[in-house]
Amino acid sequence: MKGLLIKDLCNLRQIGKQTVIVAAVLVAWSIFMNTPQVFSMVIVIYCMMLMFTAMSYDEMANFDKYAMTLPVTARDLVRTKYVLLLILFGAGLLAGFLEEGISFLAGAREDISLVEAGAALLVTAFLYLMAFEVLLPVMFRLGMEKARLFLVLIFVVIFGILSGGVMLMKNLGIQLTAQLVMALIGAWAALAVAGFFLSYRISVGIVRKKEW
Amino acid sequence: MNIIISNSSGRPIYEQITSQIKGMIMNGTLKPGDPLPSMRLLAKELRISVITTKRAYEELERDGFITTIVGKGSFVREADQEFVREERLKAVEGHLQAAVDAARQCGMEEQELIEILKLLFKEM
Amino acid sequence: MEYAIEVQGLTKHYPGFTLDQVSFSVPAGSIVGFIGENGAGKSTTIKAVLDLIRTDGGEVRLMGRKNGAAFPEIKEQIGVVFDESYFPDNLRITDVDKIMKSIFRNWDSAVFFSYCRRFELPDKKIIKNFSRGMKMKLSIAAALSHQTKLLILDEATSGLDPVVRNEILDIFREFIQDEDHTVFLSSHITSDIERIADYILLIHKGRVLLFEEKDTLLDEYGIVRCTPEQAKTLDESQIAGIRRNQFETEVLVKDAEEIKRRGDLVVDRAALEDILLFTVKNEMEEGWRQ
Repeated sequence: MKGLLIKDLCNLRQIGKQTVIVAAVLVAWSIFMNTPQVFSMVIVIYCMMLMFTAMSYDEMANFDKYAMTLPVTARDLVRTKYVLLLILFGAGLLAGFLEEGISFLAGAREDISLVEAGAALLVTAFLYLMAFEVLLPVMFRLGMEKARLFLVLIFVVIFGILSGGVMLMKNLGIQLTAQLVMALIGAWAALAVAGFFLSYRISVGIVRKKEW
Repeated sequence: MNIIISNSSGRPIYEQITSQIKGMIMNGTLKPGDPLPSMRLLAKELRISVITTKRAYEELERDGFITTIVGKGSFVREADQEFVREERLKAVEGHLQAAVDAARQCGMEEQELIEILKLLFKEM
Repeated sequence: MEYAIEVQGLTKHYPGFTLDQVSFSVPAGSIVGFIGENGAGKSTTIKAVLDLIRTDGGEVRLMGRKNGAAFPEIKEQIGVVFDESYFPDNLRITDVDKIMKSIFRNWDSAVFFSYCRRFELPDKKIIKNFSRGMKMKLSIAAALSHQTKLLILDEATSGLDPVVRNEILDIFREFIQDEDHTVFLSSHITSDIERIADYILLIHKGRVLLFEEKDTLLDEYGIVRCTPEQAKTLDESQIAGIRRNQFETEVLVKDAEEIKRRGDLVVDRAALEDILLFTVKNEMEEGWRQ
């Protein structure tokens, strides 16, 4: 699995360099524009979307078929991608927090607290993590072309649920207290973690059954 | 050591190898005890199949020209005079067979062929 | 280990195509050339051997082990090259070395880089900028650099120029200097197979038509050029294929020497390509008759 991960990281090296440059520009821009939150989210999203790039490179090169002729199992192949997802998730969050921190230190924001901004960032990151939990089995099963269409669908569904939830709370007259928000984020994260393992198992099953 | 393979001669390649190695043994280019190249090396260099060289060596061994020691390789055997003569006889017979075949094809009589043979012998 | 690959009764159904009871054995220490038209079932067979597809019947043994490609320790000994390079575009040779080092227990960087130097592969460029020939050479270098015992190639030399193809064939000849090393390669370029193979495996429409030593095939088969009447005098068991045109009939015969001894017919040597064309054509004609 280590070899496969090195392959993905080498593959993303070029675009990774670009990401760092983009991030630096975004930080400067956000301080200038007084809107660090939007850009920290953009950074998270950008990092997570590298997952698409990595999978697309493999698909273009037909690498997985070749990998299956190496001393590598279907499980290795899948596990690598889930580890990569976690790495990108972590890197995105780290970069996002860094950006927010820098913005706050630079005194760009007054209307929103650091905790609030951080919570929003976490929710976004977990949102994307969940999106990829749904997407990875689709990518393994149907390929990148279909997965792209699926991505749109997933976001429609997720935003539907979110706005539905918000409306429901309004109708029921529930106030969004800090505790409730934290509890929701916690539940959200727990769901994402559970989904991660479920998704992994499904993907292993798919790749095991796959014909190359 | 030179071995020249022709693809257009119509003779199987293993036969070309055996006859050339036999020739070298008989004219003394290869001396008793001399090592022969390994089958795989010969196959690689001549760009032919290992099966071909293997067959050639087996033939040479059967005819008593070489001996193969497992793990060491193949070597030229002590020449057996009786054998050498027999080989030469075989060669003569082969050429004569070709002459007879050619004669048959153009409808030549036995006597006529013998006459030509006699004539050629005298000319030498 | 007597055989590197043993395939027995291999069957795989696809819509419109069936790989039908394919059986053959690849002796260790030999080069087996696998020929057939496009779509004859070469790739399907190779995929089944490598456990890349599920089969509908039959058995595959790799390096003596049943369904060997399912076991990483067997795959350690196998080098596989497909018709194109499957390394992602953004990698460099040094990356490939790093990756493979963590995948193969026996990966030998020195061997790998010596092949790369020999093939004159640029170590600064990314693979995207490699020519097709360079990509194939990289794949072959990678396939040979982990103390490989069995090399499996699917159309690996197709689409390369003759100079590069010959260079690659020489590499195979070197590889086979070790008696434990085996090469199984498919190609529709019969001239390459004729040059390199010890055994010929011919497949057509999912069925094995021929599995024979190359020398036997080339020495014993011949093409008789004659009139249709003369063709009728040939023994049925002799005929491996017939091709007719307006002015002559060509018959692929299994024992050219015997026909030559008759003395009344012209017999030419048969190249592997002739054997492929005649056998495949003959099968088609038999198909019509049915």
